[in-house]
Amino acid sequence: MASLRARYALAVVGLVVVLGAISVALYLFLIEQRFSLPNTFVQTSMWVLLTFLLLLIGRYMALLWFSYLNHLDGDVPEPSRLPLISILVPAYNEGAVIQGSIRSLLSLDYPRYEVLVIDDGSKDKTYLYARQFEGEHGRATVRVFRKKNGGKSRALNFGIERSQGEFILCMDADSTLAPQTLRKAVRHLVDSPSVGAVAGSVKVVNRTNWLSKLQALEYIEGLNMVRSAQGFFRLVNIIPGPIGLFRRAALESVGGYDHDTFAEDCDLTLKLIARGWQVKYEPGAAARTEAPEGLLDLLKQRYRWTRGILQAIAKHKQRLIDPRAGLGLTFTLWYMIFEGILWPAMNVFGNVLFVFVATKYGAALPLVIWFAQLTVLDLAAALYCVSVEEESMALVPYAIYYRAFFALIVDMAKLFATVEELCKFKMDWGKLDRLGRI
Amino acid sequence: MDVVPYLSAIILISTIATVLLAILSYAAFKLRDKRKPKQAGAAAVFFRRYRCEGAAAATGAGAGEGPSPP
Repeated sequence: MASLRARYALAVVGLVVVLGAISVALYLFLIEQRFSLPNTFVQTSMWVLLTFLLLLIGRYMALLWFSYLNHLDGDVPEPSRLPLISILVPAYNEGAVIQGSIRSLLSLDYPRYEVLVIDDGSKDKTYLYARQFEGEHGRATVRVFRKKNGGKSRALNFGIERSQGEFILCMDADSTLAPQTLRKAVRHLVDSPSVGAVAGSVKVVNRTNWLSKLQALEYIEGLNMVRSAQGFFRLVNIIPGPIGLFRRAALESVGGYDHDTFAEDCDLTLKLIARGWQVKYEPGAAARTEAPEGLLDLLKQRYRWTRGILQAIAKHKQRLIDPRAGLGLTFTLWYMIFEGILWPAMNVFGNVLFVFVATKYGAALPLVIWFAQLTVLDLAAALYCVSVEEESMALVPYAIYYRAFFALIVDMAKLFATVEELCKFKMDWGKLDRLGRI
Repeated sequence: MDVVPYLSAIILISTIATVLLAILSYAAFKLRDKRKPKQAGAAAVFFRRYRCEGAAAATGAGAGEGPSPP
């Protein structure tokens, strides 16, 4: 373990030094050019963009650093006991994937657990397929329920009421779990009564085209690294739908899942934090899930995520200015606004403005330096995250397309969704068609 | 050879193309969503706060009034 930590330390220090050196060199070069900027608008926009770039670098550094510290902190000892865990699998029209999902659950390495499949009024053969697994399977018991369609949060509450475990793992029916998931996650809960939940890591299972490979990188770099950094403060702000292990008492203390947002996982996490529970991250508890393979399906997913997160923030908006419920919640809410609204806006603004200024005033060199800096940052972060998560190095080159293409499209979709949410446009769940890749 | 003009041209074109693609694909997503056949009799699934029976029984109250972390 010591050598592993030393390697991580070396990697992070090396990364910080290299990034710092490249950044300084780029800025010195830029200053030396002594550009004559034609008017106040261009000068101001350049300063705004440089500030944005510095913010970006600072954000990267902070995330990498705290993610690294969380890794050092992650050596939690085995728990004193391994209590019963209930796994809830809410399913609506998941016939293509439900059997693969249940099969993965039957091979988990844990002495005692139950699997509750809740068919939420599916119109396909989900219930029939799930019923084939009902009964005792050695260490695991599978129970299958059917209820009238009412949405994911109601299906999960239905499962919580019927489960018997001291800890409850909520997942998606289009996901599979790594064999060590329960053992790794439960370590954080058994002997730490203030920890209410543990977020696992989510990985893309269907890396079949460039879009799903970009998402595979995004999940590792953009989502898991952020959760890892937040985990250092025990303030993970979204326990992902595909994998979250909860203490039953914590779920009951906040009344289970609410039905008034499209991001029930984010909403529940905020309620837990507001209640004073700590939320940790465990990379060894891994779910592999299907990612959209088409651009429109990706936008559909991000649209729901963005509006759902904004709805969850709106439920707690009074805590933005009133930290009496805990500084953790206030900080988390501001961070979510930053990541959910300000950050995408800055990214789109930065790209469009820079292109405009470069085209109109011929400032080609700053444009190239801007992109070179971002690409170096993305490649370095991708390299670190892929190494830490022991993922395929083949994903690293996708970091180049990530900034130039993927992030811009996703951030623009987030901005559109934000406007629609602020204007209170109607929306529905927007369920994706499953591809049956698990 | 000065590569800066070429690089900047590539960045400019790809950024403009990506912005256009983002706008068009978002419009296509909204259009597809609008044209999707609606389910007859589909009930609204939101806006009723869940009250966990276990917590209510234990504390004599509903959501938000259960036990806190030690």
